[in-house]
Amino acid sequence: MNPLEKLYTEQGHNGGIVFDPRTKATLLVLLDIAVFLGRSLPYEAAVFLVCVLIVAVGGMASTALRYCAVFSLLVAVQQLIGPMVGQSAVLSLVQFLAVAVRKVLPCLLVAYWAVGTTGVSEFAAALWGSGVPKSAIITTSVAFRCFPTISEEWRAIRSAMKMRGIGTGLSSWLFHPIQTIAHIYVPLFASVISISDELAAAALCRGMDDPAPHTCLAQIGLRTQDWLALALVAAGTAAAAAFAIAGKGL
Amino acid sequence: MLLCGKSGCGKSTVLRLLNGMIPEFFDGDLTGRVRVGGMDPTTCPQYKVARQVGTVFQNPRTQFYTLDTTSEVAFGCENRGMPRAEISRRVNEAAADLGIAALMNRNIFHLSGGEKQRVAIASVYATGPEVLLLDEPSANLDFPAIRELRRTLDILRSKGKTILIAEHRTWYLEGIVDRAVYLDGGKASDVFAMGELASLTRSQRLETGIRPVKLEGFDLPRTVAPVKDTPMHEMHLADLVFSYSRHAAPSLSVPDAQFGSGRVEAIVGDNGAGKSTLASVVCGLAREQRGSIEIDGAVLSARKRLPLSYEVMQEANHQLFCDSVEEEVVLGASNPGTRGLESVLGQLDLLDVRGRHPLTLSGGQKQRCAIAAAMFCGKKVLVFDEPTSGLDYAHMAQTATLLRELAASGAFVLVVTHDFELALAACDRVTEMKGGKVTAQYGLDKGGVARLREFFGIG
Repeated sequence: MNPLEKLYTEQGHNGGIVFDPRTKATLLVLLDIAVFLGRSLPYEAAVFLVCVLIVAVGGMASTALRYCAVFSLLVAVQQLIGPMVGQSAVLSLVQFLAVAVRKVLPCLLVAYWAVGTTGVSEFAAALWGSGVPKSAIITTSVAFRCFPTISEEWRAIRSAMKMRGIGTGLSSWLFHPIQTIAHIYVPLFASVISISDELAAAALCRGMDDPAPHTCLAQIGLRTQDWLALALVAAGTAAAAAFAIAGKGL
Repeated sequence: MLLCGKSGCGKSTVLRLLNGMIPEFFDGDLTGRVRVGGMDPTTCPQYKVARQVGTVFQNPRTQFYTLDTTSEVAFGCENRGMPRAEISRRVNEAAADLGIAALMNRNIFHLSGGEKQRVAIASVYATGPEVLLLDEPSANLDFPAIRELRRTLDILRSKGKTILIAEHRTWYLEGIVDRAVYLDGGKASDVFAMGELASLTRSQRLETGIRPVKLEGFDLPRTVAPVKDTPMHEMHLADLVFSYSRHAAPSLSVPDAQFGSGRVEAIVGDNGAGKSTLASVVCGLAREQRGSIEIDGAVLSARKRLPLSYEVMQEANHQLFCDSVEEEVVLGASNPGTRGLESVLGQLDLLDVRGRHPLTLSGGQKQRCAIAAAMFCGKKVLVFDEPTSGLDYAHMAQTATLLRELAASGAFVLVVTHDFELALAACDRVTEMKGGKVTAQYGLDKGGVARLREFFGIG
């Protein structure tokens, strides 16, 4: 199974604590802010550990562990080549990449978890619950649903390109980049447009635009665990922000 | 009630009028009135129509809004804001009534076409509409799945629902459909009882596009007898094994099989029997783990097979890359010559549309455009994946003729199909597949036809 499909279909909470989709979105935003409030390695590691904890509790413990390994590896790389950075351009590039990836790793982890544990209907119901306009809900949830389909389409289009001898390999990207992009995008756009159209039509025919309050078979709603997680993360972020504003960078 | 008629006769338009998609989703000029269950779906808000009218769309790929079956069946109820207890009662009831309890709580990407179709019907059924509209529900199904569909429709009928089906295939609807409305050029030109449909002659079928009601007595409308003499070139599959992952059991394992050039070879079998996998391996899109494929005694690796072969996919959009039909046909050819281009375009009836953008063509023209590209590149192995699913009788007959012409040009023509009518009309030989294995290969003479009929479980 390819990663994108897995990402969007694995909605099992694996016995983890279930959070409301709104909580997940808010946590993601708060933690994103928190990451960029401090600069020191210990602070960054602390934020990362908070993310790991949330994700592990939320039912994706093994993913959290894998991300921990990646994080440690990136820190190790940086520490090892840090002293030698002035010596070559390649090393500086590696150093830069290691730091850049490490910076976005916490957000990536939380985003992966938020999407991976949320079903389309939960997502839509949460949006209805928070008073988002109807048209926005239909558009965003169609987009949400489109991703796994795009990955299916992509595989079929690649096969078609191979048979026509149109390269998707490295050399065609290097020597005919524009042509290669055009050959991928024409069929991909054509099918994505028709798919999203059909999806929206199917949703409307099943009463997606009903103004009555929408419900959800999966339990959603802000419960104790939601408030607790939100309060803790918000407090932490606020404290970090206070330090940053006071000029005592963490 | 059955809505029938040629492709493009207005069947889908009628359904769209009834479920309110016109004018909500499609623009156009409308005069007159539509009434469904006391409402006018053209003026009523879409969600009110949705409470009365359930629609099952043709393409199972795009009618699922969620990614697992349980929430899919619940989706309509959720939209209406039913309490959770009521939703779960209705989901269970729909699963029990339609006999799909075993399909609940599954990932939709792991369902077969037939299973998807049943879940789609259940998800509409769960909201309890009085009117059900189905747009070509059998188009992507194999024989067992179509029989399953028939059972499902029978249950719905016994519950007193009004059912409207737009469909080309009619054989599975006997005893379910009471009346058939025949549409021609957007007009309801005739109303048949099901018995009358059965007695249409072949020329009437060609004219009306209606597929035969009884496959038992279906005559061979072919113009050429099956080719029996030894083929010019022979493809030999020996000890072929392929699996998608190293740990899984092989998806394909063919100890010994032959295909001949200049013939139309049908590959038949239920969904998941390995037909598409075989097609991918033959085309060189997938590399075999063991075994070999030889043409005229020379072993060809997957890399060597790829430039020789071409698969015409079901979704024609995937293989059209250019701005015009002409460019499309020339793309990928090593030394395009104008003379060859003219003759290929002429042969496939594309001369009039040579300057058009391929994506603006009709479905059949797109398919022909893809075939033209393959012919122009001089491909020797042509594989078709379900070329006639969703085609009416006349277009099916047209495809059959085209397949015969391609074979006559000396290419290997392999056709993956569920379409018994097509197999009889165009194919010379049959390869039966089951569980990733080739179980039999035989010519389509009288005995072969009887065998194929038995394989499909007809009469």
